[in-house]
Amino acid sequence: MSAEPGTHRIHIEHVTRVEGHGSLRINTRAGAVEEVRLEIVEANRFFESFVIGMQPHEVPQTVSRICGICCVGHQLAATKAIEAALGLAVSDQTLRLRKMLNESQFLQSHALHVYFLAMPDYLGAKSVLPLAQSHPDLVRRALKLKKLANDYTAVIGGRTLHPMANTLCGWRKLPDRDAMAEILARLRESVTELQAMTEFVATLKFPALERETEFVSLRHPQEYALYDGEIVGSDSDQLLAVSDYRQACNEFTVEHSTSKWSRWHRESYMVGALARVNNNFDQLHPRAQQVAEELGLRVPCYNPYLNNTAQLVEMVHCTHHSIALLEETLDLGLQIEDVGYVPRAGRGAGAVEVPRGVLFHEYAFDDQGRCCDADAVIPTSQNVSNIERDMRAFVPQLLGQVGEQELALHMEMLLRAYDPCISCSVHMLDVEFV
Amino acid sequence: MWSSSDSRGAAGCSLLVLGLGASSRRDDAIGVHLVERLGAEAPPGVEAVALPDADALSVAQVLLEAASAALIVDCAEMGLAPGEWRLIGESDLGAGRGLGAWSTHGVGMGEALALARALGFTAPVSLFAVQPADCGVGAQLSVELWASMGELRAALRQTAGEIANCGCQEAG
Repeated sequence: MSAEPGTHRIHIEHVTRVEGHGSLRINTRAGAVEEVRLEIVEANRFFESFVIGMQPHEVPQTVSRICGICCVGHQLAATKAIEAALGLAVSDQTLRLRKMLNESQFLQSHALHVYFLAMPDYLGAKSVLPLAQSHPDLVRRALKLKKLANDYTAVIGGRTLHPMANTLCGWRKLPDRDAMAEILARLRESVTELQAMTEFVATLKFPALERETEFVSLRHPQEYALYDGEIVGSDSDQLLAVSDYRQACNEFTVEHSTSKWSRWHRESYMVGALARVNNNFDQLHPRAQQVAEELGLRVPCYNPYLNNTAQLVEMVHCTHHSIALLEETLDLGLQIEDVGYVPRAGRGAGAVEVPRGVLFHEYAFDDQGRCCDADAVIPTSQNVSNIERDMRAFVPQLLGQVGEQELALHMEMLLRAYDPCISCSVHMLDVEFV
Repeated sequence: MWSSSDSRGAAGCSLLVLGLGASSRRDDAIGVHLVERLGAEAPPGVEAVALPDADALSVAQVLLEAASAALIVDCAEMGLAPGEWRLIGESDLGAGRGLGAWSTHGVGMGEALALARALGFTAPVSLFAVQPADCGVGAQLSVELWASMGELRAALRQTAGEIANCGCQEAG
């Protein structure tokens, strides 16, 4: 513990799995902030290099391995980018299947993050295990929802992790009708579970800290944009084509981070559930809008901690939307489609919303149809600058109100609220005061 | 997920046999391969469920739903010859270890079991652990483990039958 009032030296080392490792450093002296840095120190992983020379259909399965949690998103973004590069069209059936696959990933990831990673923060626990004692019904519901989402992915995509069914132009192996009907029944049952979850989360107290920022997401003219859309930032009404994604990301580097940072209309922006809910609230399922109201989430919302409640809102949306998609698919039936294609030269970009925000992929192919250029911009790297700026804004507000440990906890909670791809994030709970 | 549940609830102590493993990491999937084959030849009182690529939280949920004794079949690096196996009791499974490390990637089997225990799962759990030869990327088992399949299938069938028929046993 630092002796001088208002003086803290907080160094949280190895904030892991922001696709690697990062650290958090907060130095204050006599009530003034000297330094706040979110240091991303992981080495580059070179996936964009791995795929050079690959045939088009090999790429989506390869880049799926960028992340075990976001594997569906990377696969879908790559698939869309390559189809754009090669001028390939897909059927309505394939679009429905891809939307379901993507939403199954949202349900998986949000359930995991809201209930198993973030929830302990708001209940004063270090992990979900003590909650199994104090809130067993909550944890049972969470496990049930997580298992349902995993099974949903497996039924549509062929397996839970790195699904194999989706490919260029369609589906290698169509989902089993009875298995889809079973998932549909379980999703309908889960509506009650989600309501119980909503009532519980509505009782939680989130830090009342706000900072206005820009929210960036996809926007679609007809639906809440998760699988498709154009790029929108809350600082402008103009939509940007996905092929121009670099104009939105404007990636740049900083000395203390091996992750690239992003900015668009201002110094930083936020992607993810809160950004999507803020930008496209009117297109949420009506029940999801009601849940937002019940949770006190009113747009525009500038409290990043409420990204967790936005995730729950999206779970409700995805559940209802998936029910509709499954009903439609079961009504229409599934047809085997030709997934053959002719390789050619071309360049294309694709974007999907993944649980942590908008994800961009771009690929180019040479005359032999071999990949010759690749780029991926992931949500966490787009959020890093915004997280650091939130910390710079919130630390002064907290100084004098909370002690050093609580200050560190608030910053960890803030980082967790963004649900960065810190999949093994709990290493960061080792807080060292120097 | 593959399941054979014909004898669940039959007389005697029912046993859930769970086959785990990553389907794209060769011998890591030995549990899945063995339990898929056990399904067709499961002893009375045994339910065989293969969970390829399942995360540990899903395993916890399956244990809670089953509420019966469980035998988890998985590969484990034990320093043995490829294809050798051991029956490991719960006390050696590491339940509850590393509880500060809950994360999206870091929920291990021990933590999942600890979670199931905390939520009221009281039945005994043991591990039928098989020594792998190669857990590299690939869909096929190694030659060594293919060569051991007959022996492993018989051992698993016998072990599952013994556990299922011995009453509310203390596994391992």
